[in-house]
Amino acid sequence: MIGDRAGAQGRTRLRASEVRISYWQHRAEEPFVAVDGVSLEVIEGEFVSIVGPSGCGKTTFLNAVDGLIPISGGSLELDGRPVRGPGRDRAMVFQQPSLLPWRSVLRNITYGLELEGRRSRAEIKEAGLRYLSLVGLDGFANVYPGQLSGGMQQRVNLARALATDPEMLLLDEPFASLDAQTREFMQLELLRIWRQSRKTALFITHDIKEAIYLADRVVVFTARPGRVKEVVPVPLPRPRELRVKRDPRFIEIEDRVWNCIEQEAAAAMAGGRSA
Amino acid sequence: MSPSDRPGVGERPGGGWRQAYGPGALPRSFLAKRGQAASTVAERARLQGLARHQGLLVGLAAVVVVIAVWQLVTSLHVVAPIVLPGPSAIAVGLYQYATSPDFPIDLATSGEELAIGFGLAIVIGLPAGILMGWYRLVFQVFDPFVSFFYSTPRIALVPLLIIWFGIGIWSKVAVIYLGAFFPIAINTLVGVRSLDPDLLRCARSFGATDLQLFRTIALPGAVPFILTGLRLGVGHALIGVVVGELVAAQHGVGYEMNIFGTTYQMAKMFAALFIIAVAGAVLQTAFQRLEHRFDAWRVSAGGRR
Repeated sequence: MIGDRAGAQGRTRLRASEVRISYWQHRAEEPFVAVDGVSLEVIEGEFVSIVGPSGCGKTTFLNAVDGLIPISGGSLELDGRPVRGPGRDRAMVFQQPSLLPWRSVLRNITYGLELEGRRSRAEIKEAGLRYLSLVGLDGFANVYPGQLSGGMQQRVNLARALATDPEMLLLDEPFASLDAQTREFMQLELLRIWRQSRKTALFITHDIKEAIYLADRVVVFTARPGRVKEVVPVPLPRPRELRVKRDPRFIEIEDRVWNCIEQEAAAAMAGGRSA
Repeated sequence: MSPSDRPGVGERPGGGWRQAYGPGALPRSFLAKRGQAASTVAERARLQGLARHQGLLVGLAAVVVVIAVWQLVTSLHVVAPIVLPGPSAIAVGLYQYATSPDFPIDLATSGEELAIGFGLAIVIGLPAGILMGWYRLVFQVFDPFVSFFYSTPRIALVPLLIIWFGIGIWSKVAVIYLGAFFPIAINTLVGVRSLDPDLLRCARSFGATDLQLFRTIALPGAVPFILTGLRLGVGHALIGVVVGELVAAQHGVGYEMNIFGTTYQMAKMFAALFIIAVAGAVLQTAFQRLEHRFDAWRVSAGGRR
């Protein structure tokens, strides 16, 4: 039913035009340019993946969207307003679970809500339990993160981001440190949760299959400084089972993305040699 | 990571000796062998109980052996009693001292000095460490003084402190305070500073204010360091009690210990030493208990962290 989200009916949630991000590194003689000239639009309710060779500035760009780092050129707007810092309309799922080890799972999930300080204790707890259940961790409310497996920790990380009910979900390679099987399963789970919560999602990964499987559109970044090299639409029907990864249409898209990346990876390595 | 990586400062939290020598560090071979023979459930439960208390039992056995050898050496007159009194003589000395009219006054005096001095060190040292850890400017202002006084042999200041505060309890309170303040303040400072960058980023992403960052990330993260500081502080405080009273005092266990020593009542001197050591052990254990209570998440993580 939620087939082609990339259709023109939605309004633009994120609009990046000619975004440049540079910063001074310790004792460097010139600023380090991570991202230069990224233009990208993400529509409400859309799932967009960003792939690119390592060090291409994907994560830097995501951090800028979250408001953790400032941009040094161009413009970055959310719902028509420029991004000036972290806000309640966005929530990040980090590459490392980044859970507070001294807080129980439930109190980790409600961390964002507690910081907001707008709701009562009971409401916060209730919301926490709801998201605990959504990520399939019923019964783990009072367990400490250290007792959980990596996959379970990432579910908590995801639930914590969802609990603040953001309009946009930013995911920074959240499954990168998981083993292959857990990873596939988490992709399936993420799609299920995304379908239920209907958030706009921006997902960073270096796994091409993962990017395609999850997204409505795959954005390929160039080697550093990152730019949008190509945007590849993924017109595969939803809901998607894991076996869609063996579908000929999927493989066709994968080839296309892989060709883009290959050129950039080669460029990145050549750049690395000359530097 | 932190500027306070001076040797001896900022001991890793979690209690070094317990990890190195605590339960589980010893080979369980002798228990394991018997475990194979244990067939009944009751027998197995009994052996598990034994395994749990293994550390305690082994420690107790070691103490008994040492005391027995010590007693033997002195009973056989290998060494003169004035050089080393035997355990039985010390027990008699302990009884004599504990029943003397001076004893309650000594205990109350030393206890009061310790309570006030160590209490002040906590009340001032904790906030001082927190402020220095959190505000760069406060650190920059106070760091030279802390570094200077931490590396000064503060015990040598006792005569000066007696001139300032008299030979009553207050000069001793000052010595104890100066001993305990630094480990508490410095450990707290290191704890507050050692923020996990991942957690910091996460809190910032959720829009945490500086105060929220402090309350939810810095302070809970510092708790193990703070408790380690308190544990180290107790040791320094007890040294302060004895040294302070050695130089000039009217009452106190340390004062009495000095009198016994200079009048060659070695058994009683060891008895006083024993009392101080027991006080130290009790306080250390109490803080260790507290540490484990606050470290519930760390313990349950099974060393993953």
